[in-house]
Amino acid sequence: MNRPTILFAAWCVLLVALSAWAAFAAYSPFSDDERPTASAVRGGVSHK
Amino acid sequence: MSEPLRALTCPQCGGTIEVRAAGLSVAVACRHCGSVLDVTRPEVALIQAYRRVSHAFALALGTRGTLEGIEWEVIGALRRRSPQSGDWQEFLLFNPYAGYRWLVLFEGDWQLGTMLMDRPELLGDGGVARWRNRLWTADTPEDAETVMVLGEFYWRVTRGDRCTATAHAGQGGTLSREEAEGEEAEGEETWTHLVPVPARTIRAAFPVAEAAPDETLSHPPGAGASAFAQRIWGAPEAGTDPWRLFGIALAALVLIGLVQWVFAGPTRCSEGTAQIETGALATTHRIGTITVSRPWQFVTVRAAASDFDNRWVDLDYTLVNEATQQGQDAYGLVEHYSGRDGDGPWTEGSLRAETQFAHVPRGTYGVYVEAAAHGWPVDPLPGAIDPANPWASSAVALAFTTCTGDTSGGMFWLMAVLLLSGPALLLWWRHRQA
Repeated sequence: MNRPTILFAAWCVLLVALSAWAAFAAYSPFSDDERPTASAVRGGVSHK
Repeated sequence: MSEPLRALTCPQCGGTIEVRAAGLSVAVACRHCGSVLDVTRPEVALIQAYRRVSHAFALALGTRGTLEGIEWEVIGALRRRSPQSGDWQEFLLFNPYAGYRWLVLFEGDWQLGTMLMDRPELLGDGGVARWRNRLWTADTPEDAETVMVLGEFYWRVTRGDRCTATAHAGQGGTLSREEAEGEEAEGEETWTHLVPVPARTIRAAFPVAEAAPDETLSHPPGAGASAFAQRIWGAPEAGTDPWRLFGIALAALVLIGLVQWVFAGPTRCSEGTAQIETGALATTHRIGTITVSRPWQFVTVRAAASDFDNRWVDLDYTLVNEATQQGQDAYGLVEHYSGRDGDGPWTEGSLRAETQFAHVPRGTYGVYVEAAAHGWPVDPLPGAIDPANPWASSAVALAFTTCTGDTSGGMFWLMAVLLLSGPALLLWWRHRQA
């Protein structure tokens, strides 16, 4: 394997490790754990 | 008979040039300024002034390497180009006892070429050649032009030389037939037998440059990303295979999916319902009890509404730990609208919504929702739902399912993008080069 391939493999290992930690801790930046402010307009049509 | 030249001074730039195959070379390209010189005459005539110094070759002149048990010295280098195939490099190797060989570098693949003294015989219309009792099938002829010359050669070579090159594929290699164009060499035909050589063999034999610094000649015009891409991925000759990187990325992605699945479980679900009056104040409902049995788990609440239109329901969920009474909040929204405008009927939204809690610690939780339904553009007035019955209910019926054991789809796709974008970028770069 040449140097770019080794570097890319190391990048993959890093992402797998991060994913393993995130899965164990049940962490996700895409979760909905947030309460908007009470005055925020939440629903409503956005059509045109 | 004059003495063969061994060192001479370039009349264009004054640089000293060493002639390695003295007595055999007829043209030498100055390594300092690139001018092409005629070394068959004692006064060393300038054939072509060329001021552009270039080191845009994978092998440097004068480097030595052993191939097939013979030590070769790189004495000449050509960069050639055809509209069909793009650029490639050719290196003239010399050994005083074995003569000349060619090393050809095209898209990261190396071939060792031997000039043929016994010319192949062209059969029929030239589509097939016979050589040493084997048949070689011709590919489409290409117009090749020499765009850069460096070093010394056994024939008069200049930048701009053109020829028609035809590759004949056969068992164990390729026969290359080149027919020169131009007034002086019109019709001159040469044949070369090319045999593939693994890149690692060449790298073991010669010091191969990782990246040619002259990128404008290393790559076709318009390849603006080349310099950036080369810094990341190395030169095209380095041979980083994008499909191999895709394979590594897909293997990592499968591993990530497995890891997510292993850490997600076990799955437990709880169900509940709620009736939400439109336009009324928010009301709170307990919609289930859920147990998180791992140190941390995702908890997902799925809401499905009864059929309604032009309304939305705000859903403020709370998980309340029954042991500590600590709460964890998340927000969901069910909304559906429809109407008609100049473009015709339209709809927007969905009667279903999914809300995910992350990082929920081990424990048993009561699941609560504080819900408020609203009409669009305004809350419906009494009688608006059913004019015959002003007191008809405008409530929205919601069914909730709360589960542990889910994975984060967002994390999975984020990792997919981070893993696959590199190989995709490399593939795009290669495609642009091609």
